[in-house]
Amino acid sequence: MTLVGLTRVVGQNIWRNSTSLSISAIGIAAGIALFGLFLALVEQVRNVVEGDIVPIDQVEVIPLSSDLQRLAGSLFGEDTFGLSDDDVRTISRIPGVVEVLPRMNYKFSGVSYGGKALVGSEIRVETIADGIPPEQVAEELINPPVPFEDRRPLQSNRRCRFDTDCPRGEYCEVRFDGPPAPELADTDPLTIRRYRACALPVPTLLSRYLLEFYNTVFAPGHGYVQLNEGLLRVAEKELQFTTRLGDSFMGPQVVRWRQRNVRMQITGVSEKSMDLGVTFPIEYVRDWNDEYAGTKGAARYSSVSVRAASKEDVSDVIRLVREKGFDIKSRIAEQVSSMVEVLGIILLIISLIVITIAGFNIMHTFLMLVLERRREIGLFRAIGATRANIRNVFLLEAAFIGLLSGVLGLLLAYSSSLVFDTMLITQVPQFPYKPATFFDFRPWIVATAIGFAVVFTVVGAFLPSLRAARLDPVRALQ
Amino acid sequence: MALIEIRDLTKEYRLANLVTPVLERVGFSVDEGEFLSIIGPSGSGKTTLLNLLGGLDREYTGSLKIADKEMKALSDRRISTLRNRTIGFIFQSFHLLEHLTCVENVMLPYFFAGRPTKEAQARAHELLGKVGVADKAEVRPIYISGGQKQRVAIARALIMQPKLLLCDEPTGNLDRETGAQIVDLFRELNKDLGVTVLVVTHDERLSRVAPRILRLADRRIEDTRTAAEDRVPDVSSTSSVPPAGGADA
Repeated sequence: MTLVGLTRVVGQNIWRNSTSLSISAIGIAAGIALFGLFLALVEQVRNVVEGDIVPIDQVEVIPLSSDLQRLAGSLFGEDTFGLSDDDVRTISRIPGVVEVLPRMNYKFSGVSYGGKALVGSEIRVETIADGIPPEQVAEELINPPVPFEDRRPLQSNRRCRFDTDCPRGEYCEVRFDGPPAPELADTDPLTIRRYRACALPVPTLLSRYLLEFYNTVFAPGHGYVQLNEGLLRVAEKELQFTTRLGDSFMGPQVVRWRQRNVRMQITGVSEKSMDLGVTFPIEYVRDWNDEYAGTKGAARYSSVSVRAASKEDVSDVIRLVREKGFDIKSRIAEQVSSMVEVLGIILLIISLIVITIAGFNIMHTFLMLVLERRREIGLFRAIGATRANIRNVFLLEAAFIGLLSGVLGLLLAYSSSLVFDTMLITQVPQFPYKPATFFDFRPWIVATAIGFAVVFTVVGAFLPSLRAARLDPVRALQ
Repeated sequence: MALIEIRDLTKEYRLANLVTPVLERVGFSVDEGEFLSIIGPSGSGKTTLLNLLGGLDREYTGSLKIADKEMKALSDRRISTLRNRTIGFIFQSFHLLEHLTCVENVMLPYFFAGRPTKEAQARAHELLGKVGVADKAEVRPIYISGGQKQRVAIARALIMQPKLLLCDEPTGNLDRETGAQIVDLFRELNKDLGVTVLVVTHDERLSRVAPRILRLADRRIEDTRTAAEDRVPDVSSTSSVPPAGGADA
């Protein structure tokens, strides 16, 4: 039997049994709608959780804390804590690693204050910060108020007493000549030269996590204005704050007279910025560490952020990183990812139960159809249909019904997602990482949903099709 | 050359421990181009024999060959091909599919032969013309008379140009006059196309048309050949093929 002939017979059968088949198809379509909707929801949750909140394809490599060799080295005065440039190169050569981002923590204390012009009140916080190579975020920032780079070569360094003495965009900064702050113990303060010079504010990055934390916890609690990334791009002057290097709420770390103020300029939001803190170009952090924590603290990186080619490569990368003698910072991402997987599996099971029930309904409908078409099956056998022909007529019919149900189910899922999105966006208050859509209908979801619809319908119709094929033509014709 | 060759054919029905013999050591052969009828009282095994000849029932002992092929030895695919290409079935209750038009009903065997639809369409229209219902081609069977339905069924049986037509009480659901027209049509098909016609009937008039009669009784078969002059049926028949759309039933 040709495919054209088979399709023709099947088309005629579907047309004449359209009512009963439609009722059965609705069950499959409803199951597929749930299936597609749940998969799209889980996919979007995964996108947000693994892409924005805890990037799953990234790991943070740190020095091995129990490395006796490093410990011994430090006893002999070597700077062995932290990661060297050689370490960074070693890590970057690990197969599966596509990007390495060395990070250098602030190794001294600081207090930051500012924000009155932007949020209506002055905020004072202990500064937690680190530095990263600025060239690695250059492409990510769109129209930053100032470029994220070491701007000191561009500043005038003109001597000044007040900000007004400086060229536009610069401020009057206090500087010291002399040994680093930790080595001041035996130094006469009078031998330290203190002077003022014009400087450009330090470009500063925020993380999306910090912004969400501020918007959802900090701002509502204190009645401050909420911030968004768009606002950060347009409000240049208002986005400056001051950090007092060497100061701390927990008690001064450096003698008061050796502390000094540096002005910072928020230049954008980056996923490469540290989560709860701010990030500067690494050159500034290196020099400040040198100034306030001594030369030992300035030479090495605190950690290296490593991005794997894909999330599937992460486990291999982790294994190889450990084999090379480094450690991995504990990964919340893995735990969160497992939770998302469990959520996905639960939702998948629910939708599969619905589709299975619908599959039984299909089986029942097709059994009825076999009874109804008994004489017709007998006739087909008499005029030359093989058992396989009879079985194929029913199976192809089921496949068509499955295909139609799948498409219908997906349309139902997509239209429901639009309704849910509208409701959730307009009715549910803003929450951290609230996305523009709650569903991500990836092509693989569409293909899987249609595939499942066809498979479940065909499986449901398989037993009836066998029964039809095995009908005794003599009895069928009676 | 023998189209049908039967030797020691025995058929019995079994239900639990109850064995009901229907045919016992039956034997006969039929040459290509013959026209014969099988008669016998109800329950004598006429339809059983027809089902065996058509390969619809293959549970028998003895030998039953159609076109030199032993029926019970054939695979499902080969017996289906034989039914499709060599045998045409005509039933008492027509077995037309109500959701298809007459021409689509006629085309059906072509689909299972894997032949092109266009060729099927042309041939179906030609055959509908030949059996006198050309004007009903696009009509669904529920809108035509019993006689017309049987003509459509005959066209369907002929579309694959079979060597053997197996007719099971073909006039059973028709009135006397229409039945006579259908009988005439069989005679013409037998004469013009050379197709072997085997009619199972309990209608004595119809059986008398056939030059050869197989009489089934007591599980045995009695083979009778009638003289040519006795073949004319005892019915009023004016034309062998009625005009298209002729008033049947």
